[in-house]
Amino acid sequence: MNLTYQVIALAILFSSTVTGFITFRMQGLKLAPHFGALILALIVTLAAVITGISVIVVVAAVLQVIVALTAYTQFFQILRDNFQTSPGYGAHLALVTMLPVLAIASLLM
Amino acid sequence: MTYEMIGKELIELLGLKGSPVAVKLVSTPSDVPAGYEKMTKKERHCQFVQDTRLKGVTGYATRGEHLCKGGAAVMGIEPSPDLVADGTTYQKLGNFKTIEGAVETVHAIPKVDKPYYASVYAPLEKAEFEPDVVVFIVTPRQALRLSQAYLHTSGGRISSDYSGIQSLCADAVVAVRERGVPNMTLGCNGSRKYSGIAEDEVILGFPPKELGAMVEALKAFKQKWG
Amino acid sequence: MVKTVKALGIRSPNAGILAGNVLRSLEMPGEEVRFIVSPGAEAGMDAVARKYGYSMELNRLEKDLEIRMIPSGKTMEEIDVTGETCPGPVIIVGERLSGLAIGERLKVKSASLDTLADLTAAVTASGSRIVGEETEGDRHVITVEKCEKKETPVGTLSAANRDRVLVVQSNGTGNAERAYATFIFSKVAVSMGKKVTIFLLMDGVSIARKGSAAGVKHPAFAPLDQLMDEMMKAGVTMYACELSATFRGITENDLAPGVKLAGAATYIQLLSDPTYAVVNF
Repeated sequence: MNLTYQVIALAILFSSTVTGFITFRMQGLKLAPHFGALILALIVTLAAVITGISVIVVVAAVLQVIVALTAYTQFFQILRDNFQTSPGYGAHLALVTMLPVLAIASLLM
Repeated sequence: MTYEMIGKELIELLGLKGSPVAVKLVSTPSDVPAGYEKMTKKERHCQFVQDTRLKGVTGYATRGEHLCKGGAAVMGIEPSPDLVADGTTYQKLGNFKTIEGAVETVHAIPKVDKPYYASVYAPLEKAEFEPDVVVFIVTPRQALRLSQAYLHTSGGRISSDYSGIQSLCADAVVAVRERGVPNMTLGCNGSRKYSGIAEDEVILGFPPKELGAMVEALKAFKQKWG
Repeated sequence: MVKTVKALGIRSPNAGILAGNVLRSLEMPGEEVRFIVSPGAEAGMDAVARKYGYSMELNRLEKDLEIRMIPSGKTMEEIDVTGETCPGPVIIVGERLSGLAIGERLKVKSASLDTLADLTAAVTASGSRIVGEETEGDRHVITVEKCEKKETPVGTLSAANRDRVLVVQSNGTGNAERAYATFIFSKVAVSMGKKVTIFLLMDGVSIARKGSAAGVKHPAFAPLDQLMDEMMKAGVTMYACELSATFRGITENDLAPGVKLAGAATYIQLLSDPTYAVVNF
């Protein structure tokens, strides 16, 4: 297992907490599954990078995919109907959309 | 005491010609007492009162049945005609020297402050509703007894106000209804001409809740004074 | 409760006799009575008041006089809005005022003078008036009297009397603070007696999609759909721009109940009506 992809994922998750907060605030600071998944993924990914234990890496990867999925389920309504405001969500969506690719790469390569 | 009893007692004790008239203002068609029909002819409010007094007519009158707009207007059944409200009508009719005088009077006429659907009339002894006001068209002597009966319980004095216009509508019905105290009025050109109020008759309006005690007073007077 | 008795054109001493009889015949003892009389009627009224256990207050109206008979020992309703953040105070006071009869009074207290200034603006805009200002300890107090609301006919150019508000919203569910502003602002306007119309355009139409508002929640307020519902029930009219809705795949059937599709002409008509105060969020 190449931990490099996990390190990149960690960087992205770290950055996402900032973009996530800014974005959540626009949504009214709802405590949502996505935010929960984000924090959890951040902690597990950190653990994976530090320990290198395979199981933890797998869990981290799964969580990273969940982070991306939950972002879209949460933001779907907004993306669909708010053309003008959606760009405000752009930074955060861009970041989390990178995660599934990195997650899969970290498991296969 | 029921209104049937009160009505009959008043007629007997005072020797009234005709009946006291129960008048009520209703806000919606569903408030009209059951079984009451619209008046068949378009007439003035004062005519409805006289018909009820002398012929025992019961019924209700909406905007369509009120011939006199001034009367209907103070009772909220019609908006006040502009020419009445700005004094023109009454100045033209000759009541007032100046238009300012007419306006001053029209401004002070007792009026209700919300719209109503209709006025309902019945002889008091036949009234199947709680009246707002009971109107009496009586001789001065009968008016005297009624006034004495009103003051019998608490004493004091009665103040009556009128302006020689809109007597049976504003002075006898609206003023009494809105204030909750009696008023005496002398008729007006319209009511004396069109509803046949006699030379020796005056008009009083009383709140219905006073009538029970007044009947007792009249009985006491009869005993004492004959 | 306040009973208003109009007895114009009668001078003293008759006015006093009439007033005495009215006070004696009241349906509800302990009721405050407000006599509207003509100048010249006031002499002797204070004796009448004393005789029946009332205190008397004389106020000048435009043409006439108002004589208030207040039963001795009667206390006015009081509310303390200290600590409530805007628009809390305006809404609370507005709701209490709407339940009062014309002529009835209410005392409003607050530790903040600014809050009371805001409240003064709100109540005077809806036609009521401030009849007293004082301090009680650390609280500033204003006494509000409910007055008759003056109607503004549609389309007239009386700029001082705009009692209609148009809320234009081009932001939608993606921006919670702005979306909430639509209804919070409307609520305040309604409590001030204004007639409110909301026009949603561009992203704003997302609020009107059936079910979408339920998904928007700000920690300080109820879910957005509840506020929207509350405003609809309070008589607020809501329009959604037809074009913006079409772009977003929202048809008439997709709209929340009570929202109507409207075109540019309706929008321009609302904007051009001088009795509307327009606000954009």
